[in-house]
Amino acid sequence: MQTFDVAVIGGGPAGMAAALEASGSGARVAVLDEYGRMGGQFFKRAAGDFRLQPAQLSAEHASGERLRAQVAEKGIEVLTNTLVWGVFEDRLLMLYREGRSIALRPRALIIATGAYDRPVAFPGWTLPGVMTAGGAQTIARTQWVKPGQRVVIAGAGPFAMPVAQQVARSGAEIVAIVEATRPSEWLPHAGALWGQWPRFREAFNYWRSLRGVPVAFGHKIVRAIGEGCVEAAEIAAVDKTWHAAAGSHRRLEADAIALAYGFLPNVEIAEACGCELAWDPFGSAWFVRCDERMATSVSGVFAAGEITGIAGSAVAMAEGRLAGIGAARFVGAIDAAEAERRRRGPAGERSRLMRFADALNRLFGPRPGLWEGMEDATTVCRCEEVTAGDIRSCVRAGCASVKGIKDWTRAGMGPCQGRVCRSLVSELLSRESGVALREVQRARIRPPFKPVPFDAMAQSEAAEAPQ
Amino acid sequence: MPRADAGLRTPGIERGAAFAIEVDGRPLRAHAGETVLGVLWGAGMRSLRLTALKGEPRGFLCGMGTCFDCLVTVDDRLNVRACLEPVRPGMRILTRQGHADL
Repeated sequence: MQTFDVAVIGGGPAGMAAALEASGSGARVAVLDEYGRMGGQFFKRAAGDFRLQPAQLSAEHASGERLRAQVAEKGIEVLTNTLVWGVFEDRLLMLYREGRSIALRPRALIIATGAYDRPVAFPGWTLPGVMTAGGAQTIARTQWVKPGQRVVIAGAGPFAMPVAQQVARSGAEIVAIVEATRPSEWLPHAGALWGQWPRFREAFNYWRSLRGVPVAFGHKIVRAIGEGCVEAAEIAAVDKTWHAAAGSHRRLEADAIALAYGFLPNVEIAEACGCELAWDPFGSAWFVRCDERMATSVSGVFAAGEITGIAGSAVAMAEGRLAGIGAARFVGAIDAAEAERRRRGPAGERSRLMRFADALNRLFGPRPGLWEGMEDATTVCRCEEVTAGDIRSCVRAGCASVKGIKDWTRAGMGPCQGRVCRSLVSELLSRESGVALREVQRARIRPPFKPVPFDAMAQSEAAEAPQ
Repeated sequence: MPRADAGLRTPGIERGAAFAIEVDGRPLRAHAGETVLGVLWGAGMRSLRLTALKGEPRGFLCGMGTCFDCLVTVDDRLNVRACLEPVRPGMRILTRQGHADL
């Protein structure tokens, strides 16, 4: 393996755009992707063994193929099935790939690790058949397997629409879309729609393909019911803070429940790099703090896409280009004037689209009632089977940090390394102790970020000859 | 093991070449291009493992390798994420009871 000027972690929309831009500036670029194929969640698709008809391909299929092809043509090194399991000083990356652990130190780093569906805990959410909306979309689109025969999609915001469309295409019946907000709340945000014409076309296409699907506005999921797997969903009407109204509970017969309550940024690698984070009160999450060139607080480390704010694929690609330009400038592949010239297009695109993304985040971000489903008996840490009650008693006994709760209860210590429960534990800690969510002390991110065989770690090798 | 009413594979889709795999000692049909999760879920298998402490059934949550809920044993490899593992002819899969060594 050669040395690289720029390594991009994550080959989704932001990462591919970043790699293309940096490579187009003359930098030697590698993309590191944990999956078997670039594209991230947005451009995920069925394997080539499926012989699909054009009508069976997703709306973004063609642009995904084009981007992958461009990356391949540019001579960019694409390392798929490659996990970044650790990040150490001066951009030293530890990779796990083909059973071996490899050290790589690029001159600049672009982190584009994306986001995952926000976990929401409520009674019954560990039953087989309760899944994230992204998970339902993935199994329907990449496997052509129905998430269930009868599917309830519960969430807030527009992501329920493409998911419902994909799930319907897989042959499942959409029992209902359960949307926490009401259309009357959308009106004050209508101004942000001005100029976002492609969004109108998308919305219209979804509306057309989902005609006849019942939508329960102002409702949320409160319980998954079943013995051994989901047999029904219980939903309830909510007020503006998403607290369930007494007596409004209703049972929907369904064998799958898809949760679409927004996304959490995958900031672990950036955080381990030492990048400063910024609290977003609307998304109720920590994102990577960046300047307008997508530079993080750490010299030579750039970030792009959903880890800098949930804003969708178009913003992610604009940010990817900006990060690619920033990294190319950092390694000296282009001069300052050339970098400025290249920035103009994507910078304008980004600020135009951000207005819309901001409005969506304000409108559909989680509200306090979403967390009232965590009854004492509800599992919160799925890996270690720790309940909300376990965590509450831990806090009552004096535990004042997520790390402390982890030490006492094991919540967050399992194979997912807290990705699923961390936000839920923080929420519980905040409520039980009265400390504001943004003041809750986070657990430190430590390698390995995902499980790696110990013998591989112990025999780590360098990817490059000493310079 | 609880099963859905019928298989959940979308009918009328032209899949890759069919072959047999072994799941908990029994043969199951799979297609090139599918993941282990696709095959199991498509066959109507909902519980991919029972948890170590409480013995609760689990399926999959995220489908993208983040949640580690869909762990199965594949050809004696423990804790393989079913959602990320491409299926191969002759693969032996054990849906699991509790945690194996990590």
